[in-house]
Amino acid sequence: MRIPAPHWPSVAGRARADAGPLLLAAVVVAVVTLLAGAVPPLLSATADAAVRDAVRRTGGDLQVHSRMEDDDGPGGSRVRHPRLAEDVDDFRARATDELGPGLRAALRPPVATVTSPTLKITDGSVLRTFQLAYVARDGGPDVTWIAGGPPRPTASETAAVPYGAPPWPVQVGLSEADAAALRLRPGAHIPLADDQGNVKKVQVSGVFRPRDSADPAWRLLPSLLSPVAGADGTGSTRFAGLLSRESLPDARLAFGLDELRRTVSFTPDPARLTWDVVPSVAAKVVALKASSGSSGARDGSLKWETRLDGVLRNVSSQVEAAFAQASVLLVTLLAVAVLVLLLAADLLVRRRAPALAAARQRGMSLPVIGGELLLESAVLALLAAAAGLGLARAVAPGVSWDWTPPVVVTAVAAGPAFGMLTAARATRDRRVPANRSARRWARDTVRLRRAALETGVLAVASGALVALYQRGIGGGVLPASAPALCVLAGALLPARALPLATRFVLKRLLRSSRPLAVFGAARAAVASARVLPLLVLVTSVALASYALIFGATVGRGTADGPLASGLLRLAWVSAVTLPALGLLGLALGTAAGAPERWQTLTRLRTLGLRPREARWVAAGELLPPVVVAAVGGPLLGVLLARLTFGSLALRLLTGAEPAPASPWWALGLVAVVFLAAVAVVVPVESALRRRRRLSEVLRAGDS
Amino acid sequence: MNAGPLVSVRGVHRRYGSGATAVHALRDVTFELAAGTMTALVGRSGSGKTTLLNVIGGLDRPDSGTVLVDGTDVTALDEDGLSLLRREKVSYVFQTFGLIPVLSAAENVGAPLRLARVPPVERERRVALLLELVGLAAHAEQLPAELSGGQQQRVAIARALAASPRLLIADEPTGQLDAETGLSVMALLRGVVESEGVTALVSTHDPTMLALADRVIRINDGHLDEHPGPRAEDRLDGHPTSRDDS
Repeated sequence: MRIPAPHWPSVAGRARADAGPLLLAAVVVAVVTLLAGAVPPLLSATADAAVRDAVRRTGGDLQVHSRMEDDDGPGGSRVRHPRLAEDVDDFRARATDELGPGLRAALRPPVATVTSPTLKITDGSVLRTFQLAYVARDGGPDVTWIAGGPPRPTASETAAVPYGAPPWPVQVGLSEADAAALRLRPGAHIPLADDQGNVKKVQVSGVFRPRDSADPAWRLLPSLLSPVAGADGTGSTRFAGLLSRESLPDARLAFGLDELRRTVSFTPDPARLTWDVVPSVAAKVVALKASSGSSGARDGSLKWETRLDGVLRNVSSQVEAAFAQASVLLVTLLAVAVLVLLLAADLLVRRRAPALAAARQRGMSLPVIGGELLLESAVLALLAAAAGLGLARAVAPGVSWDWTPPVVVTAVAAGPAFGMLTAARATRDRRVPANRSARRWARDTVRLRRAALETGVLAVASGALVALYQRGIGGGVLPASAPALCVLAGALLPARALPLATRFVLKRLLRSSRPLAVFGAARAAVASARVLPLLVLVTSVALASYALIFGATVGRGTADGPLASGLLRLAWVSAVTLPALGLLGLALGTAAGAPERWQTLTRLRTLGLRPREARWVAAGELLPPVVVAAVGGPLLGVLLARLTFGSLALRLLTGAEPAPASPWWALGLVAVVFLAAVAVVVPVESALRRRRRLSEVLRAGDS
Repeated sequence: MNAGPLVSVRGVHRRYGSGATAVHALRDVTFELAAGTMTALVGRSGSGKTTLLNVIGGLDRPDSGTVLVDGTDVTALDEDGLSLLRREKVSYVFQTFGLIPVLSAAENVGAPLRLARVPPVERERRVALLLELVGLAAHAEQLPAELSGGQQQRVAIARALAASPRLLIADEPTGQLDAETGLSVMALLRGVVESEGVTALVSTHDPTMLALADRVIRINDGHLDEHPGPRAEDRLDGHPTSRDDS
């Protein structure tokens, strides 16, 4: 079968004739894809910063301890172990191996330390303490000996020391600051004793200066570089002496069997710890802690200690909450954008209805009509989406496609679907039945379909709300869609009520002697049957109010934080974009209803209605849905905030469970903007319509 | 019936576009309509019928020439003046009826009276009278969608007469009706011209409708080509000034 080719002149002609609505739809697609494409990577970058910040602020070092091997010698003695520093190196290597490649990549090179118990300096009344410490990492840390030299061994390599022997001598180096504070020179002995009063024989071998005082290795034992006040209680000052590879075995013998503490420390590298690697890193840390040996065990097993898993757990909760909260805001944008695109497609098809009917009557098949419209909408939507994503790539560190399909699919499919329906209706054989009961049956069928659709929306909205309550904000797309779906469901109520209300008002006004009010109400009664414009207005105002309350609540409860401020920015962007989309919807709805409205107004003009009176009648038609949106939208937004904020886990960003803020002035401003828009739209439309001659109505009844 | 012409058209030109593509819809059109007569305006599509009706009714402005309706120079009025003219002196019947869909037949008929701020009691009385006149008293509360095409056009005629206009302009009022219904509508127009004393200018394609007119004006390429209508002799017997007007 031969596939009919599109009639290119028709396709191009239609596009040229409707360039305005097409361009508006393209702008909506571009703006929303820009936001949907840029927000996730921006949030990821913010999450990376949040992880780094949390690790930087809270530390999160991994420390692993291991008991040193016994040094029992023959005949109740202890044996000097000359290769003790190499054992420490082995311990460091073993600990590094156990990290695994993923965790290892996120950590800085390990630093091994061996530290003595804290000793007291016994030559004064002021509490001064002293610690012997050995520090080692690959290639450092380096020091320069400015007086004396590095600590030397005090005995032969394999000396044996009987239990109960006099204190074993050990040499240490002192930093310039420590040496100056203690007023000690190389060769001097430091007067030290432990808690039990046992004297320690520690001699100063030399005074050193660190090559790089910012070397991370020194961070673990700052007292090695300078006295540290308050480390052992108020008024105390701690000093430390540096052990060398050669003096470490002597230090072992200078203290009891298990008194030296051997530790390897790993410091997370914020530059390499990104949000992406957090799950694997956190899992590995938890696994290490789970496999950690008991602290009391007297074997050589590794005993892991860290707060990193807790830090990552906290920041993960915050980031996941922020992602989920951002997705709530994104879904609100997408929902309103989809409605606006449906409205744009509706306007486009209304403008094209005569041409589509004519094409159908000339024998063009529905697939060909749909194909031509699809071609136009696909090209436009894809170009607009590409532009939006390109802009997103320019302003964000990456681009995400995840949230763009709903908008692009709507932009591509709505026009062709509406167009095919319109074309099909134009040549449908079905007539309005002459039989009254058959007409009622047909009317009831339409009502039933609408009721089924509305019931479906209500059911999905209820399901989303229940999912939000039960699973919380992190439960996926359905709970994140709860605010948008609930607003949509809530907007169905005024959509149902408005036609009844306008007809009621019209009936009341018919008894009055105010002609403009009567004609305005008559137009409003006709226009209120169109559901989509009202849905766009109410949802956009309600969700803008929701975003405003969200922003005010988060802003009020948060001092700072890269995550909260990013979310805050998204809330403010949403609070501006949503009303803008709503105003666009108002313009589209106004344009879609304009031919019918001005047909009536022109008829009334032929009865003697003055031009300025016609504007009042037009305002009477346009105002009811806007008033409903301006009044009901903020109330719906406030109600929704109270219903859902408890499940949005805002406390993870604000520090405490915040009560929803009520930025009434901002909510009022949104309402006023929409009401003011009518005051702008009516004269503008009137001015545009003035160009069309009133006379045309006589012939065709159309303005 | 008035003794003088109700409508006086003098040297009216109307051109659409400019340059080589300009279309001269009316060329030096001059004629008068006597009060209380029904005049049929006939001509091919594009001959200038609608333009002429529009110019007389103040819905369009001529490039040159004057149009007097009941002594008022229509071409000199501003928008508000034209609105007042339409409210008080000129009314229209549309080919597409032009009813307001959510208002009942009675409310549609009463619309011009509302604009004229006629008190409700008087308005209701006048509406009832007009619906009776067009034979739709029993359908007063029905919406336009619940009426047939012929009934809708009758409502439109009643509405056009509501404010007691001096001139009724109807452009192809039977264009969307079948022949039988169209004839009854024209007969109704004929009847109200006589009963209400209104002057009617009706454009039509249908030659059978011409039998009901006092006078027939043919328009061809913007020029007038006039003939007395089949009823002209009857009218002339009682109203000699009509002949003078033509």
